[in-house]
Amino acid sequence: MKILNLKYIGITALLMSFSLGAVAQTDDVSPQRKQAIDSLALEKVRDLSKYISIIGDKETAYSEANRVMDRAEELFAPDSEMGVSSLTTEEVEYYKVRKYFERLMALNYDKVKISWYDIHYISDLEKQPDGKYVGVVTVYQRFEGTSDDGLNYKDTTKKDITIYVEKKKTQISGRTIEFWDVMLGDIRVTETSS
Amino acid sequence: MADASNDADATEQQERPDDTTVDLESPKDSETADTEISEDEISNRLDTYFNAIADASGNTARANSNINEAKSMFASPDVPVLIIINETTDGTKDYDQPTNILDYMNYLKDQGKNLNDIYKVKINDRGRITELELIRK
Repeated sequence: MKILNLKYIGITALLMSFSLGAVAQTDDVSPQRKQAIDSLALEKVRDLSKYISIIGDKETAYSEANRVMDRAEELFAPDSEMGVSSLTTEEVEYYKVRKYFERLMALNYDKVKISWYDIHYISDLEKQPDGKYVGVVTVYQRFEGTSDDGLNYKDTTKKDITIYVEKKKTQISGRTIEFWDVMLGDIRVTETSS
Repeated sequence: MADASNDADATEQQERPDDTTVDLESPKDSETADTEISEDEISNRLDTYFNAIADASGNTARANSNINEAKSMFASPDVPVLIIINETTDGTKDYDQPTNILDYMNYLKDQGKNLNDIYKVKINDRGRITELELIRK
């Protein structure tokens, strides 16, 4: 009987350890905190939208455009790529984000207007086993390029942006500060229309 | 953009010889009313600059002019800026990625929006800001 009891205790302890592990995997962030993180990530996408608009604007001074390209690049995880499509071809080209910004700035139009709208989550930020949060935000982009010689191009694309959020630490004035690091991943084209 | 008088700065230097963290939310009992007013003045001036920079978005020259004026309030362009995105009832804070004041003001210029209120200002004995904490509106 004593041996049976010990066996019973052992099995129970093993089962409890598995269930505790499962709890640890679930999201331990309060709804208020989660909402703040969601908003923070969405705001980074809006920030990128404005940066792209500035970089593409032919009125932007070269030095300012370069400074803004640096800021925009910092929003991305390393090696992230931006998809570019066209109404004239079915193929979608993917460029490293810095290359994309440089090409955008060099577009051969007299006037370029780019705007993003209807920015929203299509996949909520979910905690992964490694502790990072991953989600997907979709945006609609309206592109208008015009030239004095009559060259005009307009299109609307739908793009999906993978977003990574991770808690990190840094030193500020000799003390450790924890912060939520939002990184944008690849931006993939899903639709192109006129 | 007109600056506040230098008298408030001089008064503050006389009454605050050391580096001091100024918590605008809970002023210490030993501080004088004059010191509290100057801390509020600093906060209000800064907020006015931030709004002016954001409102000037699209007018690079005007925004840069406001940035250069606001920079004089800080010990250096590298002064850290912490942004609280969430604060719980027990005082636990969630932060955005820290930045510095020059990058932050350029951000206001680029984005044309001021999403944050001033939460806490740390000032040195020369009346210059050495650390800035903001909180989401």
